[in-house]
Amino acid sequence: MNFELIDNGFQITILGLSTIAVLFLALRYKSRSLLILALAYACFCMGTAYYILYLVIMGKVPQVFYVAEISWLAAWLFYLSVQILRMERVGYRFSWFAVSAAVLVAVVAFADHAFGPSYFFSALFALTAGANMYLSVLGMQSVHPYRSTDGLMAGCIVLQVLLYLTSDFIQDYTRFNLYFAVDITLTLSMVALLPFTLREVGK
Amino acid sequence: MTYIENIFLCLAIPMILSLFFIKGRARSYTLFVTIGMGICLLSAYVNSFFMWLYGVDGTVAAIEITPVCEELLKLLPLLFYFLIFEPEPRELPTVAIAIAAGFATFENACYLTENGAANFSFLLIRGISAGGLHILCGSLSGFGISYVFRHRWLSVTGTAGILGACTGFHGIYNLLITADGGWKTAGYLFPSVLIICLFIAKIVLPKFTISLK
Repeated sequence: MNFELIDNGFQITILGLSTIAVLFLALRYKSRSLLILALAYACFCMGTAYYILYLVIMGKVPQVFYVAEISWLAAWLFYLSVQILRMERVGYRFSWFAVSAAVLVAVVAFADHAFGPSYFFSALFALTAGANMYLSVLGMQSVHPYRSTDGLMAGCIVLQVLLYLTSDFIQDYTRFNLYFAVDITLTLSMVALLPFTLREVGK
Repeated sequence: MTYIENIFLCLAIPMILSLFFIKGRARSYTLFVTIGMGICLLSAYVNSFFMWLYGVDGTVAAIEITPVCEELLKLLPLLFYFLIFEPEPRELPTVAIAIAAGFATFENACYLTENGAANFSFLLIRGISAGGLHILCGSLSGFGISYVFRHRWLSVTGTAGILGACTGFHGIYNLLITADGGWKTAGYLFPSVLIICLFIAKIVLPKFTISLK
């Protein structure tokens, strides 16, 4: 069986189950962060579901517009929303190190044309990833007890950009390779945000 | 050829006339339903433009272009109302649902004109699923903007995120219903199932959204 289908099936299943779990927990704790995290998981899951359904039904990848990419971008916007909500409690400040990390991520994502040939969508993703990286690094530098969540979020951003970089060098998606290793790690890292956020909400 | 402008006039004029004789919430609801119909007409023009620009057929346009254009255009009147009139949070979901209902009604009217109204069972299923899809997207936009993302920067990222979520959801629905066999059935079923879940959630969790921490 084509490994692309296995990998995407794994991602849809894991993120779909995580969405249900986070929704349940959001209702239990009445938590805005968990609700936004559920939206992020659902969007990532829908983006992958659209992509794989298009591949299965139409027999090719989407050629004209960026529906799957818009859904993935929405997921990253929701992750950014979670970080904004967290940093509002910690407090904003300026950090050259965080700016450097954000610019590096944004430039690599944009130069790699992460979201296809469209400059507009690549720029939107680069901006979102950069802003998220800035807040995550800022969180890691701050003195608060949940810096590991910021570290994990930064790791997710790096893995997402790395995934697009890896895809430039991979031609054969039928067998397991580095691309799928990064993708599975990314999926598991995103799911790991759930216990980290839950720990914070529980306190 | 479907003369959608003529259909729009026939549907919208009685509703516009009624606005002069009704007041309060009923007037607002009728107005936003009519706006939803107008947005559907506008999105037909925008879709046709992109179909011509990219040189694609109706199927590809329905799967790849329509979800993006329709969801973006549906969000615009809602954002206009939210930013200019600054309504109470509880008013926004109703407005979003009214726009979505108007949109779905006009879309169904155009579908009937093009394909006939003979097949009752199919039209019933289509009516529920297409209506369910637009109302789910409307509910997500309305509740999301008014309750979940009502903070400075959060409103920017959240609104853009909600637009993306609605686009992905709409894209999956359009993709499934243009396929054959089990995919088509799944496409028609899943908005119906989700709208039942939403209805149950509305009954079970009436106070959830206003007490988010």
